[in-house]
Amino acid sequence: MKRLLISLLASGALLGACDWKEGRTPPTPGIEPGVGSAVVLPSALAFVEQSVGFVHLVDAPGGLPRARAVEIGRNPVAWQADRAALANTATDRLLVLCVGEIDGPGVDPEGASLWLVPAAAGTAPQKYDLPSRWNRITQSPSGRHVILSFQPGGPSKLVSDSVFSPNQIAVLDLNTPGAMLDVRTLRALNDIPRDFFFSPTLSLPEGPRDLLVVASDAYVTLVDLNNPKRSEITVPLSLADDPRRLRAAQVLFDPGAPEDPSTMLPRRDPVVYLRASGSSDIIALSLTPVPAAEPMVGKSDFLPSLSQLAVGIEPKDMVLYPELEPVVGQADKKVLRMRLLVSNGSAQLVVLHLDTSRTLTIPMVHSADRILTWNGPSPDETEVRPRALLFNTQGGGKATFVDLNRLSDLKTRNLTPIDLAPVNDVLPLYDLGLVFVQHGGSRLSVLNLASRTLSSLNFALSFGSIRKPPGQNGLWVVGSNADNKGRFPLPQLNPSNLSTSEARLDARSDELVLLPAAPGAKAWMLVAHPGADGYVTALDAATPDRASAHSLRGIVAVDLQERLSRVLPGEKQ
Amino acid sequence: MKSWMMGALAAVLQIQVATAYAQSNAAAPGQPVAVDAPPAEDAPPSEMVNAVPVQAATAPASPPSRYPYFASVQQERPKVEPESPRETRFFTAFVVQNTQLLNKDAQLFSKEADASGAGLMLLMRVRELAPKLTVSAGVDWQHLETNGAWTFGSTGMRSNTFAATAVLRYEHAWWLRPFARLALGGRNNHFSMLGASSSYSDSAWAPFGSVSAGLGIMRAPAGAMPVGLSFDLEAGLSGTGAVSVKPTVGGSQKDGVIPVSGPGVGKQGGLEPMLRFVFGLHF
Repeated sequence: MKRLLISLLASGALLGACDWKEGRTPPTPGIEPGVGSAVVLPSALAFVEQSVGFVHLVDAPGGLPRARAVEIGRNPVAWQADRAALANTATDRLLVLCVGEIDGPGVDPEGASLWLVPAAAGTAPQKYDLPSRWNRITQSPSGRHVILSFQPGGPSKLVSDSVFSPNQIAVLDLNTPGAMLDVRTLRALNDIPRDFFFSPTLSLPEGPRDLLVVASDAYVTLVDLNNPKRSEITVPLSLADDPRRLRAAQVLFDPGAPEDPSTMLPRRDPVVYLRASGSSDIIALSLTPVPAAEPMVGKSDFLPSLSQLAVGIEPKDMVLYPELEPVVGQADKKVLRMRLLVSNGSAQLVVLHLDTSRTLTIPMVHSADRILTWNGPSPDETEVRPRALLFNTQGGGKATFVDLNRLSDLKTRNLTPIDLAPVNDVLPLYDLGLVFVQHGGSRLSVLNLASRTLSSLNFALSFGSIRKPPGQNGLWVVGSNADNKGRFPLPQLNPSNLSTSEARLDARSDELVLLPAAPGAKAWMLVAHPGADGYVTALDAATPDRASAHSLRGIVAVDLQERLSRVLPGEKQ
Repeated sequence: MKSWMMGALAAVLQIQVATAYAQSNAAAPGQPVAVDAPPAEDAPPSEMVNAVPVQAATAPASPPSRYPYFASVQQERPKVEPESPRETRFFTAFVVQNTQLLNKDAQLFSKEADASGAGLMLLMRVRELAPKLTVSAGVDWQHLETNGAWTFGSTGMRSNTFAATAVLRYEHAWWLRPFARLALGGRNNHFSMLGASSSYSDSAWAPFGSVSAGLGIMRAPAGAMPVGLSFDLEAGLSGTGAVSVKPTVGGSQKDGVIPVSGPGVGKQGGLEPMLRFVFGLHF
């Protein structure tokens, strides 16, 4: 019997030593397990689980939060909501850039990839295989073009090839189904691409097209987004003997206009205006047609012509606005002239007449470094006209409304200063005619752009920021701290009358989205809470309170069994 | 064959070796291992023979002899019976069960390809269907624990199985009893997962059933011990109904807290082969 027991114990020990997953290795070092902050899509909240390469999409049919996992490539490094989707739920999707994986112990190599993950269930994600392990996504405001590039800091620290070209970028046209990647290596003048600016459709010699302006230290590169085979144009921003390394900080586009037979006005070439850090001038690049005699093969149909517009002091912000002027000799006809309004951090407002290069300086009662512009009425004028608000983000207690129409004539009579506490951040809602101004941790002002009145809201608790969910007029204040009962307020502001209401949740709010509802059906909203395991709460959008609330916690574990081989990478079976 | 199976087989063989060893130690025919108790010809090859009491007083009176040996052999031979394991009415056993986790879903809660647990079984003989063929019925309890891992750390599964069981046993020899077993009942599973900042858990009941067959090896009690020992080696299939696992954060359902759902991680359950080692007592 003794030998029997010994044999059994030995067999048990051997049994315990058998492990079928001897090849398990931990996830990629440097990545925190779980999900990061939620990304707001028009019809869902998305969480990217970076450590294992999954997107978790959460909606709330019937008020119960529901999550599903979508597999993407390994090591996602950049992601964002498709900008086009924010205005059109039909293409509601998330863009995710994955750097893939390089060969290693227990790890199979995987190439880099770009994933378009639709929010709608039942639609497979779209994958683009990439030739380089880029780690930055930049999308045009319209959402049509996506640029993939390397961060100025270099390739991804997680996974990178031993050799890479930092000037290589890829352009993808999302509006063209099946479009191939346009991979280019930009001409470099001892620097790399740092920022990307997208033009609206410009009136170029061979037809309307979109341009990409790539900002680097001391030069910019113009890329024709509609003609992949045409080489880019590199424009130095300073002379060879100039020690300054000017870099474009803000780029505005005058789209130009074709010849107008009715006004007998000639064609107006598109112009790119650059505000460069370290320069007291505005740089204008006029895109003039290439002379017909010059060969066009592989080259652009335009050439940039550089000029400098002096504004005295280094400009901090600028806006481009149109003004109608009577045509000389034809009093009944007006022509559109472009003006550049520049704020240079001083108590001066500079207006540049771009057609005549005339500069006008108008004194203000305070300094300003930020400009907001919109079209709307004023207290004295019901007509919708271009107007501006200038304020200082570096302190100061005033702001100034500017009526841009006939500003050159009326000068200071078009300025209306108001008192405004020091500004931390602003959230302009032009469609509502409001600007929300955040002064500090617990104070908010609401500026009515039409009546030019200022209302204040005080918060008992410090809060994070204001959110306006896509498709919803209401505003929400997220990031509030806990009250003395351990609950986290989620205040709602009604912008029409500034009435407030609030729900008190069990965790801090990070992001929120109003989910689309069928006609007549109850609408639900989803609130994302911080936490690496994924935590959301669904609320009745009409009456958001605790009674209707239901939470889902542990989103990263959804369908975990099906995904286990990815969650435990390196598993050898 | 896996090494632990070799070990188990060695354990089983150990029984046979011990049995053979006992047989070799048993009295050879004609050898006076005891003054007045020669082995019966049909006695089982076991040292148990020595424990058979001798009924010398029942022999008819005979004149005194100078040869006590001859005198004794003239006595009527007592009828020697084994300890009669067939007369077992109750059976209680400590069970070690090994289950092969063939279902991939089980990997979430187990790092191993199999899981071992312990339990108890109580049986009572209810009917003798035929000579040497008996039916017993009783209850069976099994406890099983496994450990696994996921994104944030450990996972675990703890199950308690309660089943009514019936055993059909055939007495091939008094020491060798093949049998078949059927069990039906329920299994309570408790699943746990360590989250980023909290622990998640879920419990669920599922129907349970198993079918198995095996060999039982009996050992008679030594001396006047009233119980018999046995070792059963049993193999079969066990099945558990599928249950959806939706672990929630502990304390999330208490009053005043917004109701919290857990994520559906998948389903657990299915048909799995099992191996049981049963250490029993008969009485």
